[in-house]
Amino acid sequence: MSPRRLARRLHKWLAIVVGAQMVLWAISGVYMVSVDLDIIHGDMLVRKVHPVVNETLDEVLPPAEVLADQGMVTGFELVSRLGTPVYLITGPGGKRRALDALTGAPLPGLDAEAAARAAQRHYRGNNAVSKTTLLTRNPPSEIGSLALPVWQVNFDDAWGSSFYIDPVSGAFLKRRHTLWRVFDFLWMLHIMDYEARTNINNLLLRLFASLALLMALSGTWLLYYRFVRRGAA
Amino acid sequence: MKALRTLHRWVGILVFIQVLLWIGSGLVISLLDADLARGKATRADLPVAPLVTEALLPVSALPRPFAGIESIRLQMLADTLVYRVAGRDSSRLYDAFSGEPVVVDEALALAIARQSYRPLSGGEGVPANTAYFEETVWRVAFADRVATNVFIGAEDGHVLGHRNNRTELVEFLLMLHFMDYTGGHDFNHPLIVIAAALALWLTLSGVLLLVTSLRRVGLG
Repeated sequence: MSPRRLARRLHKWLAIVVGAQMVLWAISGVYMVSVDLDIIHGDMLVRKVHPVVNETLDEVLPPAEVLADQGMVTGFELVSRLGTPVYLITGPGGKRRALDALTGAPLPGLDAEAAARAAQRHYRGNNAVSKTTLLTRNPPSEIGSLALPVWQVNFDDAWGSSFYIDPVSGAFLKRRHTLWRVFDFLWMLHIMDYEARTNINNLLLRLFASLALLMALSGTWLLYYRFVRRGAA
Repeated sequence: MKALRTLHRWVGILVFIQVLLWIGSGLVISLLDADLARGKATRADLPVAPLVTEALLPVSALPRPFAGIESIRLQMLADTLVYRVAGRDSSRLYDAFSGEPVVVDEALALAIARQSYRPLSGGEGVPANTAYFEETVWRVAFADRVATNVFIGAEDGHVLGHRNNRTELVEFLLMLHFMDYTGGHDFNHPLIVIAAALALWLTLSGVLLLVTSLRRVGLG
């Protein structure tokens, strides 16, 4: 078989195997480069707010007093939860709880109404909250490694926004929206990790990328015959 | 069909170098251990230890380094119990008993770096030297097989990250993959959008040609 025929065969046979994946790489690539990453991150959904604890620093209980009857503690922090200064306490095993920093009274986790309010503080638009869900198990993959439970607050907007709020601290943890979800799905196709969507070292990707490289090289070879050799002849 | 093939070839001429670079850099990135390149392989979880809860300075007695204080956290920093007072963009450290500012000096930077470091299998990472990287960043170099550098914030004691020679290699490959030759890893610019659109055309026309060829002449 002549080298040129061999290149042509190789190009075609490899295309049968990896052609579909190459189309997927190209489609996902076009999407990822075309939609600005700041939009994917949802920056346009968020109003920057910076809750501070300054006003109450002279009034909060001394930590030594608060911690005297709390048993073993591995984490301790003063933050503002919806305007109230709270002490966040982490116990053994990572379990967290909140105390009113002015009175020392234990505070229950945020309820749905408070979670919606917390989300709205960080939301730039004027749209209403459409749904509030306390996720306690089987979380959607879009929240990644966030600890449960966590409040999911959905907004009634064209973006399909979901804000995630920590029930203990009231902190705004994550935002997700439709364009992010599309990006994440296409990223899964791009890296061929259909489970966790994070492992770029998987065997399937390595195999397909190797074959694709051979295919592109054989294509280059064909271009050489078509444009250089013929031009010289 | 002849026109489609001609167009496939000409677009191939236009983008074949970038297509080779995309596939080649993607393949090598996939072959390199991502946890190692991202500095995760040498990153140890900070130890979780019970906090001392007696004789702590009251919050009211702490210095207030920022106009807006967002949080005050009690935590261990190497062997010292400190309050971390955090503002909008940065934080400052104070001794939890005396309220004295904690200076992240060379010894403390080294201690924090050591705590954040997990030796790679088959090697004992030894801190080789500690030096100012920038005015506000300490760099602690470890003598492991990928030459890990641990970066520590000189004002807040944060572990900013672990980097090694694999990190640099992958960043070079990402530069090729993202076509961002400024070193910024921006993949939303007109050049790459045009190249990606041409590559999409190349793959789609290729699949069309393949289907046509398979129907006409089979596998031959």
